[in-house]
Amino acid sequence: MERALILSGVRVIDFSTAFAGPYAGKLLGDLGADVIHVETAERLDIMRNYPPYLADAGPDRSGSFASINRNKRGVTLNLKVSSARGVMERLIWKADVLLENYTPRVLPSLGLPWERLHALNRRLIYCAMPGFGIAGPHRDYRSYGPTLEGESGIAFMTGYEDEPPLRMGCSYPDMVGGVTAAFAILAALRQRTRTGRGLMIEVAQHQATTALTGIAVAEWAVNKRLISRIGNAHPWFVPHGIYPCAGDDRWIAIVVRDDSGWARLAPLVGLGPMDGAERRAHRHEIDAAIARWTASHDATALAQRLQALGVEAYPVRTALHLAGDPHVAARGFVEMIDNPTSGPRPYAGPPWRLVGVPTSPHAPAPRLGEHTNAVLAMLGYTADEIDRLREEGALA
Amino acid sequence: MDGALNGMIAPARPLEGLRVLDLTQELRGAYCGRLLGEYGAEVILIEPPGQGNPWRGVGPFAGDDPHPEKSLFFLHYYANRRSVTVDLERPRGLEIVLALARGADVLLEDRTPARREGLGLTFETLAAANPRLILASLTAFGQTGPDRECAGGDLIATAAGGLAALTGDPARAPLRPGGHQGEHITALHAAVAIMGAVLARDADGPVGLVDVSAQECVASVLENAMEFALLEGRAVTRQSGRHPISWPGRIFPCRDGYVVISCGSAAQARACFTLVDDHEMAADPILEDRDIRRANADWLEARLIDRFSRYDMEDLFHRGQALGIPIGLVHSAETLTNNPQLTAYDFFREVTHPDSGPYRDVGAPFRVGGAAPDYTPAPRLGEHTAQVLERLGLDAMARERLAREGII
Repeated sequence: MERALILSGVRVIDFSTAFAGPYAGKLLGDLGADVIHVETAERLDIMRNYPPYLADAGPDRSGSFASINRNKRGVTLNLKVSSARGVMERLIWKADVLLENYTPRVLPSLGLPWERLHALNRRLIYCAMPGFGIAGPHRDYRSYGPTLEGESGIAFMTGYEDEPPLRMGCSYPDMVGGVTAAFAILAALRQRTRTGRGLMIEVAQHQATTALTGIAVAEWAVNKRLISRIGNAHPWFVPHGIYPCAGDDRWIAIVVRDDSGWARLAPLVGLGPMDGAERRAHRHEIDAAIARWTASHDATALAQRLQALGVEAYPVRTALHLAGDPHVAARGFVEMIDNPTSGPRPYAGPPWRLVGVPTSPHAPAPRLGEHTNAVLAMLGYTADEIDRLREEGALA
Repeated sequence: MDGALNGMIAPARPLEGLRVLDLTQELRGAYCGRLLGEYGAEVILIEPPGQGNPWRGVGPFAGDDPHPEKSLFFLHYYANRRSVTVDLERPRGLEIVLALARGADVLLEDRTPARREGLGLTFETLAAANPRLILASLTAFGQTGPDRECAGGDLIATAAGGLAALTGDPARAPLRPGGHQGEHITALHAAVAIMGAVLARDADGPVGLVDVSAQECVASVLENAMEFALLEGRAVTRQSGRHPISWPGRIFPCRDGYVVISCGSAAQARACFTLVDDHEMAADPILEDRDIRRANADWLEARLIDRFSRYDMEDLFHRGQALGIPIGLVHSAETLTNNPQLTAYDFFREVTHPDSGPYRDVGAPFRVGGAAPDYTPAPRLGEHTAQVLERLGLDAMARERLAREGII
């Protein structure tokens, strides 16, 4: 008998927008949950107009939207219309999880504070993903992924040595919020199997990202030193860097963590034995010697040679390299999904394999309102009732 | 807290009863174990007798004293655990670890496949010891594919997964984001996969292997760079910290520090100029269209940078928020510690530790039922060896013999 998908039978109402919330819904969809993305045509999810596009631009064609909303069904509800709220309540009756990433005022303003949600459905797991928190002096402040890079303390540590801080090249805190929420929801589902009761989870994205600052807070607390910008260097391991290779914008990452690693690398770069403290004292000279050596080598061949010697090394890859990379391809990371608007398109799959468990069928992201009728029928609405709701503007 | 959640009862230990055997040596595995332990799992760390886990030897140390109980890396990443010393490289040590695996739900590890198998920890051996055990392997490149034996930690993962290539200046070396984010994002995705496997096992029977690739985890969080590559065959390049689509979207120096701004709309872009009293520019129609703003980014940005440098960061932050600008402060660990939003949540943990002295650690990533989970400081080397081995029926005499032989 075919084994069930991991989260088959788990219904998630993904009432979220942009990146962070939808990313949590995507991960749960990848694990096989029935994720219903609730949005409104009145105010389009900004991702529906975000490049790149599957074909020419249009709300059903954003490749970004398609990626973080795959494996979901799509319902449009305009909650400004009162009869739409009745539909939302029925969705909540039938759900295991409600996920949202609005400011903390929004759900209560829709008549759906936690107390109401819990009264509607005692088994509901409600995951709120506010930017700063449901409480606290900044609870109503705006936060986007990039601003949380600063607020979390990560941006302060990102940059070339002794230069100003730099944003990293992606909206990292959004993804952090999403994956943290997915973990929190799965933990709560386990909890519910034992208590039978739902509960509320608060993933304040600011806190979820600040939790990832590693030892910086401890280092300040005990040694009164700020971990600041040191490029690709490490406070302890030397060498630890990204070095130029032959070709245009080709680079290699090399790390040595102990004396035996140094003993293997040092002769290649023309340097002698040094212990960790000596290497830390001569970090810049070592980096310069390695860079002189790597500059004439092919990054891929050199990485293979160093790995064979037991030295950690790998060529710097761009996303474009990864799209054609033999290792990535051998693992089946990129999959094709057939899209009704554009035909088959490649997608990056989930970054895990669970051996012995089927992966989800990978449906494309929903077109705007694609599953509104089907989901309302599932909730028990008749065709006449659905028509009436549509006339009232509730399903826009 | 203002009591918004009063009256809700739910222990913040949703993973209570889950038993994790921790053989990790990399920060991705270490952070994953910390996370599982934070929410109630019992995580038993196996350390080699003598030196202990390799991170015990990595600085910085509390008070710059190179002592195995004072490594800040170990104290942070190995919180919420028990420590048992067992020499995994000796047959009797392996037997003890397999006996512990019989009572575990998850075996968490992060060595390359060949190194794991070299220790005798093959998939078959573990399945024979405990068919319900989930082997969670968090490796740099996964269990399959030609590069599966390539070793690496954070720098290798961020380089291999496409994040370094997106960060930094186009004319200079790609840049690793600060604070081991390649390892953290891998740990978080692994925690999702592990919890999925636990739920699947409890519902439908054994799940053997959770294979997590750090390279793929990093490649999963590149915003839309993978989509540009896959759909348009285009590489998004490093843009010196500028957002590739929104403008303004970058860090601005101000009089006493830095703020970060990320505007999605014309109204927000106009408000940035209003914020710094450049009312002429705020009214300029050039700001209306996203693509035109980007095309003029160089001179517009120079004008903003000049203006921002005249103001203080806190002033810009609060007035900017009032104007509807998505603006944040660039916090150092020092200002983070005093951040009123975090202190309202009692976010930081003030930790007492017998060897390192008091220190402060970051708080939990999320709250369950209105409460933050408990925190257990990192264990001393072998602190729980006796207690845990007692469960295997190894009495004091047996343990003493094993200790004499250097096995525990």
